[in-house]
Amino acid sequence: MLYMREDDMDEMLRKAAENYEIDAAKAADWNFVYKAVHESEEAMPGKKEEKRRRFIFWWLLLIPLGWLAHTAYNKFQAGDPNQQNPPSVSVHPKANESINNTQSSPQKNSAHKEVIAKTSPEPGKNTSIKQPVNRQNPVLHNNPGRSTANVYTYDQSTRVEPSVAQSSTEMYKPQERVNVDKPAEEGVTTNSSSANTELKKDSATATAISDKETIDIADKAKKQVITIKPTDHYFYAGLIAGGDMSFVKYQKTQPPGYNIGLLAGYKFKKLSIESGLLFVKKNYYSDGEYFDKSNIPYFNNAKILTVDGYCRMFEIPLNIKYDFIEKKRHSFFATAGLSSYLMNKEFYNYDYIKDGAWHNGSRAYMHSTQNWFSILNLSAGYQLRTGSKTSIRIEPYYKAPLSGVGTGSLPVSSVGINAGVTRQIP
Amino acid sequence: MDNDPKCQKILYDRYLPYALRISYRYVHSFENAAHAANDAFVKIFKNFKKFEIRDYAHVETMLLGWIKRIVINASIDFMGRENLMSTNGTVRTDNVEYRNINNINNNGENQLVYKELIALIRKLSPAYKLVFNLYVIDGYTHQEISNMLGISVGTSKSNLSKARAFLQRYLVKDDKGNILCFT
Repeated sequence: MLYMREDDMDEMLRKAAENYEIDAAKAADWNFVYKAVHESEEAMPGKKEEKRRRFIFWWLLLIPLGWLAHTAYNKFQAGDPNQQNPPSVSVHPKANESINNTQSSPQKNSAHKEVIAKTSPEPGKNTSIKQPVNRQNPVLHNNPGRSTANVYTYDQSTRVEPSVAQSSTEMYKPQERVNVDKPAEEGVTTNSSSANTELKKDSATATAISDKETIDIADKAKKQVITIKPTDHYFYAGLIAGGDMSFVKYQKTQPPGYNIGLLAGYKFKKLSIESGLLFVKKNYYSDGEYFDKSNIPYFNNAKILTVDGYCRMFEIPLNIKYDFIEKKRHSFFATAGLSSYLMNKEFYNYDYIKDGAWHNGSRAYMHSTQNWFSILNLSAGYQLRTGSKTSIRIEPYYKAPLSGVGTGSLPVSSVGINAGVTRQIP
Repeated sequence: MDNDPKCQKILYDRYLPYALRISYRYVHSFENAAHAANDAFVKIFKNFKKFEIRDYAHVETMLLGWIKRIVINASIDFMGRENLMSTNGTVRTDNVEYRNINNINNNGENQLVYKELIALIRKLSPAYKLVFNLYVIDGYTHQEISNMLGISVGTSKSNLSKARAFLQRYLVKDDKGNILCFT
C-alpha cells in the first residue's frame, strides 16, 4: 500500500467538505436566533452610550493641549520679565525702612518684600527685544498730602544695568512711568496698592529722588548701550506626533493611523530646513485596479477586487519651512518638501477571484520597499513660543504621492495634523 | 434586510446548511456544530451593516465568504468555550482497516464517501482538526492561523504536518492505485 500524495488527499478532502450533505433541519433553531438578535437590540442604547463614551475619551486628549495653550496665553498676558515692560512697583529702601519702623506688621512687611521680589529682574535671562530689561522703573507715589503730586523713587540697591539698547528718553517716557493706582498687571495690584497705602501713611520718611537725580540716572543708562543681536539662525530639534488619514486615489478612508518621531532643523531668518525620522502607521483601502500585483506571483492569474490593510514604516521628511508671519511669540508658517518611506511591515487583506472562485486572504510583507523621495509634503501651521527656546507647533498637512509606494505600488495620499514641541539648540 | 425578520429568516433557511457544513468540520458533535452555526447567524444579523458589497458581480460569493469567516470564528469560539482547543493534539493509534473508496465519481455513493472523508477529518484531535480545516479546506495561511488561534506559526505547521500524517495512515492507495479509506 502507498500513502496518498498530500495534494491528492487535500483535493479529495476539499471536495468532500464542499459537497457532503448534512441534515440542517435538525440544527435549525430560528427562535433562538430571532430572540438573540432582536432582544439584544433593546440593549442597544447602552452600546450607543459606550460608543459615545469612547468618543468622549478622545476629546480628553484636548485637555493637555488646552492646558498648554492656557499656560502659554497666561504667560503671554502676564508678560515675561525679559520681554515685557518690567513690573511697575518699586519701593525705595529708605521708604521701606521707614515703613518697617512705623508699622511692624509682618504681613505688610512681607507684602513689601513681595513687591520688591516681583520687581527684581531675573538674572541670567536672555532677551532679544528692545526694551529696558532688569531696569527698575521709577515709582510714582501718588500722595495727595504733598504738594508735588508725582514723586519718583528709585531702588538703587536692586538696580541692574540695562542689557538692551534703549535711549534714556524712551526708558523714562511718561507713559512708562508707573502709576501705582493703575497697575499694569493683576499679580502686582494688591501688593502695589498696599505698598502705596503704607507709603502714604509714612510719606514723610519716604525718600524722594528729585527730577535732577532721575535725569542723572538716565544719563548713566544712556552711556551703557548694548546692541542686540537677534538670534535669527540656529539649530532646533524636537518631538512631533499626530494623526494620519490615508487614502488611495481619493477612495474611502480607513480608521486613522498615526505619526510619531523626531524633528530637527536649522533656521536662518524666515527660512528653515527640516528633517527627521518618523514612525508612521497608515491604514488604507483600495480597489484592486490600483494595486500592482506584479510583485506578487501568487496573483498572476487572479483578479484582485479590493485591498485593505495597513503599513508601518519609517518616514524621512526633508522640508523647507517658511515663516510668513513672524511675531515675538508666535508665527505662522508653511512647509514644502519631499518624504521617503522605508516600509517596515505591510499587511493587506485581499478580496480576489482566482480560478473562477472568490477568495479572501491576507498577507504580510516585511521590509518590502524603500521609496526615496516619493511623497510631496505640503503643510501650514502655527507655532507658539512658550519659552526663550521652546516652541510648540500645530501643523495640518497633506502628502501627495509622486510614485506608488509599498508592495502594491499604491499611490497613497495622506492628510493629518501634527503637533510638536521644538527647542532651540544650544 | 438590515432588521427585517422575514428577510433574516429567508437568509437563515437558505444558508444554514452551508454554515452547518462548515461548523460540523470543526466542532466535535452535531449538537455543538448546530449551536456554533446558530451563534454565527446571530452575529451575521447583528453585524449585517458591516457586510460590504465591493463587487456587485459577485455578491453571493462575497456573502458566502463572509458567512464562512463568521462561522469559522464562531466555531473556534465555541471550541474555546468548551476547552477543546489545545495547542498540540495527539495522534490516534487505532488499528486501521481500509475500505475501497475508488468509486468516488459514482454519484450514487458520492455522499457516502464524502461523509466518510469528513468523518475522518473529525477523528483528528481538536488542535490538528482546527489547523487542517483552516489551512487545507478553508485556505488560511499559517500566519493567519497563528493569529486566529494564538499559536506560533511553527506550531501551526507542526500540527498540520501531524494531521496530514494521521490522515495518510487512514487514507492510502493500494498497489493498483485504488484509494482505500479507513472506516
